Amino acid sequence: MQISVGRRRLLGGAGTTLIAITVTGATRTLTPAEALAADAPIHRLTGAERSCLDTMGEIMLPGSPAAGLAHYVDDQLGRASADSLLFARYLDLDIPLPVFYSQGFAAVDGLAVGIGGKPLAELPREDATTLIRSMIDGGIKGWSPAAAALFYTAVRNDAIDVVYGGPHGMELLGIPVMQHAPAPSAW
Amino acid sequence: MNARDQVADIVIVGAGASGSVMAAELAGAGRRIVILESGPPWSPKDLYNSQLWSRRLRWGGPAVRGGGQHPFSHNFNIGWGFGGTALHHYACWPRMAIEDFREHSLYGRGADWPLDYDALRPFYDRIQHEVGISGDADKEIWRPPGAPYPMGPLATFRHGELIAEGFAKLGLATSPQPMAINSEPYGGRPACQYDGWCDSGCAILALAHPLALYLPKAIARGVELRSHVSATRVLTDATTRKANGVEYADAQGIKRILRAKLVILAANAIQNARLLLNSGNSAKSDGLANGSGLVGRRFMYHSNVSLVGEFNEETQNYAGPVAGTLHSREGYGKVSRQGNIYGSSMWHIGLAIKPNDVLGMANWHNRLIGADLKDFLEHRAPRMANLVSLCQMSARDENRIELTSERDRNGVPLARVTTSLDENDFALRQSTENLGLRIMNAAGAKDAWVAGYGSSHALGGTPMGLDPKTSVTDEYGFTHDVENLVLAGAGLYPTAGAVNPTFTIHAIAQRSAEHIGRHWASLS
Repeated sequence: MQISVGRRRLLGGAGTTLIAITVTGATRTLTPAEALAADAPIHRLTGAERSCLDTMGEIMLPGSPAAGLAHYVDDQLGRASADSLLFARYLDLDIPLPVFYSQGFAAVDGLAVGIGGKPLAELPREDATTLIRSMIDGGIKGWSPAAAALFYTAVRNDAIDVVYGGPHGMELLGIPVMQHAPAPSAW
Repeated sequence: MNARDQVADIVIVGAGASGSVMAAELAGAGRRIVILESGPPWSPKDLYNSQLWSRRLRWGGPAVRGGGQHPFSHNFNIGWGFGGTALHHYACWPRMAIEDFREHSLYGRGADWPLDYDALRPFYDRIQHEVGISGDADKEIWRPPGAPYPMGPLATFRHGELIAEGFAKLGLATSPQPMAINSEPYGGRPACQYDGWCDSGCAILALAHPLALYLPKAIARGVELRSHVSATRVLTDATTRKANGVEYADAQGIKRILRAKLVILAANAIQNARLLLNSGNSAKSDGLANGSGLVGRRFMYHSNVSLVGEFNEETQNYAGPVAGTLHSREGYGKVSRQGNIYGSSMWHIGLAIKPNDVLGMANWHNRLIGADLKDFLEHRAPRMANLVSLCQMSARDENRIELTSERDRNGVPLARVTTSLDENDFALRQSTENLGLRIMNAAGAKDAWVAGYGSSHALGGTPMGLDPKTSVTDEYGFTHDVENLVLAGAGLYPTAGAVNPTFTIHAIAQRSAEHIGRHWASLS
């Protein structure tokens, strides 16, 4: 069957909202990309964790940090687990989401230091990429292969979600969005 | 909250598929019915076309711990709030096979159900008429006897047609998949738009989830729904032989008691067992209604294999329902395989896919990252199609739901679900993997691979049966040990079959409700 889609409804860019920030007493809601551009504060990730996340994101899906990956994850980690939109809620974790992410970033940076004496963000890109691939290939040393694979899966899917998870991302791939009930925001 | 608020004729725990059918069927006749639901009060306006937002519809209650060699994927499968798991279900509604109900008699495996297909058939037919299933009964050659579908089948798309050609080249039959999705306007609900947003909770209500049909019906008949209230124990009289209410925690965590003449647990397979195990007293320290020792035992799921083929043409793989519109039950026969492999399997063909999420294109090849991932999504994925097998899992005591030492905020122990596939289960799944790859090759795929293995549908844990020593309830869900206590939902399954369970859940619930209504005077 050939379906008639018509021109897809674009909700990307300025139409999407997510993160509430207060600037000089006024609250605004921004997409992750807008939050990044506005240098909106990060509340839960440490500077080191943000660097680690952005490095993982850029290696796993180039452009995901620029799409606001860190702001997206940071904002979602501030929500109750039942309200979280993070992929990691599907992973049946035995620990709370914020702990899972903190432990994951610490493990990745710990491995990076073991390899090159520096955190992931400061490793040569080739070494950092090899480290990330080892998380899913089972070749990791010093971290449970299952835990490493879970963290790889979570961050990879966060990067995919922030780039392709909304109507704008589907448009980028040429996929008809066919929305009858648009979400109040992409994320 | 005044005293009247705390007395009902019937209290139902859980507002999913079975709870909503029971409520709609039992409402009226002056009965006061209250449904207690631990999750949010979703309405159709809360349903959005978004894989991300759909995650709110999945389990958000107390953590469920996993264990075993092949853990059940709990949080992805189980729903939360009004509509329960059925709110995000894919609406594949095949009937179980005649032999699914008699595996012990026919093959010496598992257990017989306490009812046979003929007992359930009238309720399959009634539900089918009320809901409006689309399909083609003549082409569905594996279908047991029953009324023809009220609607013709849903449309097919290239991704399904391509794979169906592969089945045909191997001499394997396919047919339209029976779907609780309108192929034309039916029952005041619109036709499917083939947009692939089924598991976000179909917002246009073309898909018959509980918010589309049975919950509004129940409400219209005077049933009261309460959200954000968590049942913590089933209460009994002093003899412990008769249920007379439910203890629950309200949204503030304050414990309250709702007395009722009849208690129906329709929470889901895992939470029903958890609640019974937590409802024991000094006389029944192993829980309530557990004289058989089987509460929590014989938990099952459907193991599955997701296969992807890459073709030389664009496949429209974004179009259609999430579970596809074609299926096959070749291989459903319990002893149809070589090598003494036992059990049934079925196939979903040409599933509609989004870029992201568990089933999404990006996870068809989860080792790809960087430029390879972008190339995969932008250039290769549009030429792909996928095929998923659904395999029966054996019913074994060691696959079980039990309580842990951890407690939720209301003081109820968390559940642990321990599951492992046995050698036969594993071989059955492997046989579908091998065949699936052959089908993809026959279909002309230039490359084909396994995208992943999974688990679907929480089944068993409180099996029904004729003998109180080997089952928890009778054929209507009444517990053998405790009067006026009824269980509903897929937890009742003694064996798993290999078809999606929601149609059968509806039929069993309606049959039980009719039985309760007929005997209401003696119950109350």
